Amino acid sequence: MNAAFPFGFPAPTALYLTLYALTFAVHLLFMQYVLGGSCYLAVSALLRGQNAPAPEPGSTRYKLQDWLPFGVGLTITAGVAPLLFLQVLFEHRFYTANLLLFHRWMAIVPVLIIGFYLLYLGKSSFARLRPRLRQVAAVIAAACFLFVGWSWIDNHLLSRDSAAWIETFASGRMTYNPAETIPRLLVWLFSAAGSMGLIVGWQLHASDRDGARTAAQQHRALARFVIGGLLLAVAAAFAYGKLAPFDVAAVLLSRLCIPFTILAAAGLGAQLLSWLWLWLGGSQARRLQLVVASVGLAATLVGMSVIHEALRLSAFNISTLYERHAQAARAGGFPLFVVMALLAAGIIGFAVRVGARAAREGEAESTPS
Amino acid sequence: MDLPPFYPPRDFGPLMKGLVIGGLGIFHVFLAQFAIGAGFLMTYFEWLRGRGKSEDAGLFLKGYFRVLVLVSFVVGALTGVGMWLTSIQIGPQTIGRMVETFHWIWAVEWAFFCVEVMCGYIFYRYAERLSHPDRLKLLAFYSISAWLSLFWINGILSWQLTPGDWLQSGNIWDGFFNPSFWPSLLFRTVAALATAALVAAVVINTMDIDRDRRHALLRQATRFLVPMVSMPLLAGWFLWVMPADSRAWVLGVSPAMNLFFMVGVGASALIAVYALAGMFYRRLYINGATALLLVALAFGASAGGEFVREGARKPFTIRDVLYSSSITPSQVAVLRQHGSVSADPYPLLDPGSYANQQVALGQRVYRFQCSACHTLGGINGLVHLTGGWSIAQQRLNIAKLQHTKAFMPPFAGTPAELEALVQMLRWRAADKPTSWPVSSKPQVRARLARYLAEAGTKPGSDSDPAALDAEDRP
Repeated sequence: MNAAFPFGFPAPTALYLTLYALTFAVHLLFMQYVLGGSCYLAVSALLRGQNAPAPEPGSTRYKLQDWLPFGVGLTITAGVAPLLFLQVLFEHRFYTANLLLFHRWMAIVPVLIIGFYLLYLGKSSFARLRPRLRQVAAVIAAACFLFVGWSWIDNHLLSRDSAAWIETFASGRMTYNPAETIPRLLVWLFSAAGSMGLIVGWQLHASDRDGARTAAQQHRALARFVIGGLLLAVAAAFAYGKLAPFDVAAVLLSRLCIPFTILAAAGLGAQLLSWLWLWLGGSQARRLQLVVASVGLAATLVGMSVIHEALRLSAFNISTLYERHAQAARAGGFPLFVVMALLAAGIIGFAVRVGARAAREGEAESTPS
Repeated sequence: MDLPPFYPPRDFGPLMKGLVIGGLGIFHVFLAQFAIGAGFLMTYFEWLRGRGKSEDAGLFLKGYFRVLVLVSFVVGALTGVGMWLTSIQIGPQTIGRMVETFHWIWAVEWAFFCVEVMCGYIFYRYAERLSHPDRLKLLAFYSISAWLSLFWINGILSWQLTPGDWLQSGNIWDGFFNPSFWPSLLFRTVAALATAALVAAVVINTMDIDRDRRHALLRQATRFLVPMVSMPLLAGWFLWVMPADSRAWVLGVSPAMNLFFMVGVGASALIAVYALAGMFYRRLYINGATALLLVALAFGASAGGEFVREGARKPFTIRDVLYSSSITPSQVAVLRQHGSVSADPYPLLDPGSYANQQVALGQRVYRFQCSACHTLGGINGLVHLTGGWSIAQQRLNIAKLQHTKAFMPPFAGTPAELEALVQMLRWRAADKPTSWPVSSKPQVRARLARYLAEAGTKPGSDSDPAALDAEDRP
């Protein structure tokens, strides 16, 4: 491919790829919030032991416990769109990987339901008085979301590797698990610190603005967590480059991908600098720090989404699918989608405004269980 | 050459694939309909609250929304994704064709799903702090977007049974506003309102208020059961626009489908009679146990209705486009010439366990053409279904499958594949002996070729018995 993403493709393919990459980036934000947040709760529950008190209002743990169930709902909702465009783009490959992973793949649905309910259990008043239960719920919920992440990575890698399909089927295995699975999972997991930290950071900021006084120590702890996570993500990315069975660097530096490699790297740099600034005592301009981190995160997520796609496209010749994409585009309905999506965005904007006003006017914390 | 795509064949052991998707589908549809009806019901109660016409509406809304969030927002949303993933496991060609044709409609449905989730969750979280107008607006947006999700998805699902003018024009709107679109949409809307009212009856019984106040809430909620009086009319409309052969299955030609149809009709009638005569007209009180029983009946009615809707499409999954065997009508003729599994790259999982290559070929033919709806020894098991036939009957009936049973698709393979399938079924019926003779008589092949030619490649029908040559009947 001799042009930057998505310009080298015919219009229908470019349209579907662009929509896929953008909606996937939005899904990534919520997915990483849930993955990072649930792992944060699980690790902190284990470190604090069985008799730890329930999290205090205003703490990172409290915010996560309170909002993670909604985060799962958003992740699932935001995941529907990329799932749809993925089917239009790579129907045969995606369906084949689904079928090869079979029961293990289908298990993600009940596992997600379990994880979802455990998050609700964790924030319930029933669990608030039972530290052991809260600990177990947090650990199992995190394990559930990690399982789902691992399954998606296996599915994605298997869908790329058509040479492995028949052997995988004949072996009766329901896992694929090449050497690159774990480093890929670690890249997503560690980089999740950025999404999780930013959402919690904005929440703490909003609470402070509404009169709560979050300790500076709390902000610095969050900054340390995000910086640590992002640095580990970089290390995992290097490990992935070493362990992948193809030249990852060549893909990242290809004409197709390089603008997005730069975008992702610049976004990562902006995130690291803004969190470093907070850690080193820049809590006076927290809003500016969060704005910089937000811009950095958005750049990183869009960059990662396109890199994710470029790695897939490097494995096979997508031109064989152009005609299918053109045929799909002829089906009609796109203008209606644009109009309805704008209408929906307007209503969502109204709802968010109503919710934000209620949050500001009400108490600093609300805890429906 | 127009060959179908090959996917790794999967089976669910003794469970028929249709039951797997059907079971999940019924569960998901019930929860989705609850979510849709619940939106309108809550909007109504919020309106009552604002007008001062219900002292407990606010309390009821709090409890009811909690049920909605904990049940529908979690399990409902995830079973929706589960439906997609299960459809891929059961019939990748079918879901692929649906996505290809209607992906923008699905994207529109997703946009409204986003509105539903956002409005619903913001109401759930901040309801206590919101003004009445804001509460009402959020609930109205929630309700309308939930119903619009149904509106959009209903067009896709009803298209599968009655693609209408889309078959000629290829125009997406001809397919979307197909003949069964409106009766299906209206019927589901009424079912959604009724489901929401019945769940409300359960929730009201859990409220810590005195019986008179609960009764007052119940009377307001049961108003949502009144539209059930239109159900017979809507069901009749739906049956009327169905293809004639599908209608015949439902009304008695297929005992199983008729049984499920009657379950749906009976359960709906029981709810309607109890609700309208007892709860609405006589203003009787309903306790928690009875309310739960009525919810269970509503689930039974949904199950019956969904089974009929799925089954009535036979022998197609998309009428006149794709057979239930995931083969298009035009591909049948091609596969008759080239073989249905000659290009299938996926080996048998237990290649050493077959008595000979012919039996193994028969297994591959079963896997490709039959396993979408049949098992071998479990539910709808082929070994049992064909066990009473002589070998001559097996050859004839499978070769002329669409005429043997009009809800079956035509056999889409070569005479050699057909004979291999027959031998595999007989070998299994004989308890899988280690040695089994290979059937290779040229006369048999010639007869099978003639049967297939006589059967043709078009779908059969009950009114077309001519294709079954009487003198060939054993």
